[in-house]
Amino acid sequence: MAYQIQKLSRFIAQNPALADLPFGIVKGLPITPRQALDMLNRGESVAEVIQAMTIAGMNPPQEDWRLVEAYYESLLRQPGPKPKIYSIGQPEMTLEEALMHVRLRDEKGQEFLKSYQGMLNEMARRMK
Amino acid sequence: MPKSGVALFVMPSFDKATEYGFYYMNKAAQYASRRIFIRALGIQDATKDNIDAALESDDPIFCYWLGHGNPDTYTAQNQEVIMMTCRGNERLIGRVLLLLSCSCGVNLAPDSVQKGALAVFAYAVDFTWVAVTDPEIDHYARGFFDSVNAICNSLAEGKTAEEANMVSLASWNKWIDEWTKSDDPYASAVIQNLIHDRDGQRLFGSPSARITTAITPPPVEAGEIPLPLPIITGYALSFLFL
Repeated sequence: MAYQIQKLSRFIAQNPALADLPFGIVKGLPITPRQALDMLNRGESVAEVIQAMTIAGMNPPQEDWRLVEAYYESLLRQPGPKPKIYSIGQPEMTLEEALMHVRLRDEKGQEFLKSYQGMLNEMARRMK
Repeated sequence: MPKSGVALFVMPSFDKATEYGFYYMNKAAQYASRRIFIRALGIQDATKDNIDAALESDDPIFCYWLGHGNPDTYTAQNQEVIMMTCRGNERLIGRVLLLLSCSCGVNLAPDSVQKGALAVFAYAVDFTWVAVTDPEIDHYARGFFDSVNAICNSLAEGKTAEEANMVSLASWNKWIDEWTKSDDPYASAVIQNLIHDRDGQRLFGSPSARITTAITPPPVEAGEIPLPLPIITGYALSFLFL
């Protein structure tokens, strides 16, 4: 467990922008690297947290849907002017609209899911 | 045979997305014009008739084209269709193309290479970015367009298509690394889309294709005005170097 704590501590220190992104499900809820570290430090759900770290970036699709939804919800809680999502060929989209598409799991929502899966892979690579 | 050291930039601007592309393509035009001849068709001049005429008269080896697109279609100003998988892309024979457009890397780009284009850079995904304000001052958007322009800049320096692609991928990775260290509350949204575009970038055709002979870029002096200037037509002239 000390090794996992060391890995997570290093990840959070080196990648602050990724420290609060949902990457796995523990006790039925999405958790972030920072929450995972807190849980390990408290000795809480250790096996589940380590399992979530092990399969990061390779979660079952149903879990990825929960993660991407939690991600956009967390973006909407952030302070300051909210950026819009632009694409050459489509009207710009607000973060609220992005979350709506994710919840509907429509074509656009699928694209956001794939895009978030790309980021999960990057997180997993950096967590190793 | 297309002329080495000659380029055609197509720069529509009619909505927020193309405004961003237009702004950053101006930067690429300024850089490339230090090394190669550039004709830029901007805003209302980014039409099919003008593109056809420029391909005929200048016979450019390099085409850097912005516009809305889909897997089979590239469009310019006001979404006028310029070419499709089934027609129009045969005019790219012997040329190197950089398409800053959504999803053209799915069918249109490989089809163009099959019809004789030397090399085509394109995106197999919707090219997306995040921004919060105008292109001139938006700090979120810069990394996306810098990484695309890295292809154009490298080609203008005489690098091969494969080398240009590697420089561009290094630029995507550099921006991703920088944003992961950020405490900006929306840094993760930038990273998410940087990864998306990086992973969707494709190079088809000859990896050894060049648009000009290799040269060592001269150092840029502070305050220096790059010469020769690109040929810009129409309203685009008013926006260049703003």
